[in-house]
Amino acid sequence: MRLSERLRRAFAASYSLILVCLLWEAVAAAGLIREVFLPRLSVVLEQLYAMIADGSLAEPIAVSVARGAVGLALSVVVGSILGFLSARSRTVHLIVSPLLSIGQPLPKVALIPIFILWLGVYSSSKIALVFITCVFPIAISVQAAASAVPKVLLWSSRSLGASEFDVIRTVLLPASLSGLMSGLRVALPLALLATFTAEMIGGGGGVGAALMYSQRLFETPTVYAYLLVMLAMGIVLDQLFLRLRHRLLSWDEQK
Amino acid sequence: MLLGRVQPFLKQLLSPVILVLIWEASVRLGFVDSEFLPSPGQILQAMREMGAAELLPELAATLFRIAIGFFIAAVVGVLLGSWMAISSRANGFFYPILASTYAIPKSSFIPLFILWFGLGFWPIVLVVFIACALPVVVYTFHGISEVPKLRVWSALSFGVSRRDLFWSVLLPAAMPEILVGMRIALGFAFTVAIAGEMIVSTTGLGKLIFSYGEGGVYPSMFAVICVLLIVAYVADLLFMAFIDYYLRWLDRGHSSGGGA
Repeated sequence: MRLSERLRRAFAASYSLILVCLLWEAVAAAGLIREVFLPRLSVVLEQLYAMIADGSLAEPIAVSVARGAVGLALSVVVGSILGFLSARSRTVHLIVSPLLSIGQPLPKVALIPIFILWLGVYSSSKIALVFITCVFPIAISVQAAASAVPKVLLWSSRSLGASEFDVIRTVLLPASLSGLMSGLRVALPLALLATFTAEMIGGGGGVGAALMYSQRLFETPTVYAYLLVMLAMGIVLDQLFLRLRHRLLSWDEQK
Repeated sequence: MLLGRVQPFLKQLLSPVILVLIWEASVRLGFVDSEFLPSPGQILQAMREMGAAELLPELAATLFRIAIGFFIAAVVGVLLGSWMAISSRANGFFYPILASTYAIPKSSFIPLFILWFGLGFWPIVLVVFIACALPVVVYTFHGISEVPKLRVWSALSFGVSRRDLFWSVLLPAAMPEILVGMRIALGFAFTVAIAGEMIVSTTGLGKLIFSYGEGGVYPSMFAVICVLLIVAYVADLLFMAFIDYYLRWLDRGHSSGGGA
């Protein structure tokens, strides 16, 4: 009874996806769309399996993940410091805040040719793009969270005898952490986007470059296989993030 | 009075101006090689040399692609998002599909669209559409779902038809959310359009930036990048001004019974 209920729910939650997959397979198998444009789903999955089996998939994934991770780590460090200081100091706020609000909406991909000029076509230029893309949302949400700490909390912790260091450690930093998490929520997909886009434009290895390469050779099943890989990476990243946030912010009922 | 109003604006300008001055000074004093980073003066000079005759057609090409993709995405996104919010059956069908495409970085569709449509106009318009549609759908869905039930019931008890309920109650109430989604979409539009032009296009600012970069004409490359960043910034400012204007009208509209 419970199993059948669970199956029914799983089906209700995914029947449209199953339908899309079946339709894809049927349309391609019937030859309604040429194979160069839409190969059968089963052919794509076979190709994906072959890429996993012969190990040709592991290297581009590792390269892209490393680039994204380093760029994101840099932007977390720099963004948190900038955001925190700008929330606590008027002078820093005066300098940093206008730059953040100007930089935030700009399309950073336009900077790729500059990074290639400065840092070459390999990892450094990709890391630079990830950094510059992610640092703005992180700094802005850390700044917002650290300056939104209720004054009452600060006053009461001071009047209860907390030193300035204690106030930072026990009140301000936890508040900033929840800001960092909401900044990361925005920054994580952007990091993936920046990594892949920089690789597609500049080459130099990674999943994005591999995808462009297979498109130039008109290896359509490989193109679709890489799209599935990117999709899977996006989903895994999102799930990992949700777990991390749950663990770090279990005290915060708003999250 | 006037000073009081101008002062916050001047404060906003302070650090960008200082940054540009430091930049100019460090190139002139030779701390930075102008081959790697031309000074703001050199970039302005390069802009002047290119002039409107070279820049405007490319700018127009880029903006046209963005406008078409964004417009289609706005219409489709609002309709689909509303449909999903109103009908749980539509939501059950589309939600899994949208949720699974949400995780994929949208610029990855560029190579696929090149395969389908070749080089040129359509791959870029289509990728702009894909990138813009999702945030509009998501924000519309939330906006419509969160309209207070009481407002819907009272409209219904006044004998409003289903169609009027959507156009004059639900949609106006959801507009603040929808516009936030559209602002996010506008940012994505610029990003993927430029990426697309760098990869496939023969025209547009993205292409111009890339070909100056490959040709080693760096002051011109920096100049086009600056033009693009300024245009993107102004587009965002204009859209925010539009939001402010539109929502102010909406507030007044509420008290007098709401418009279409």
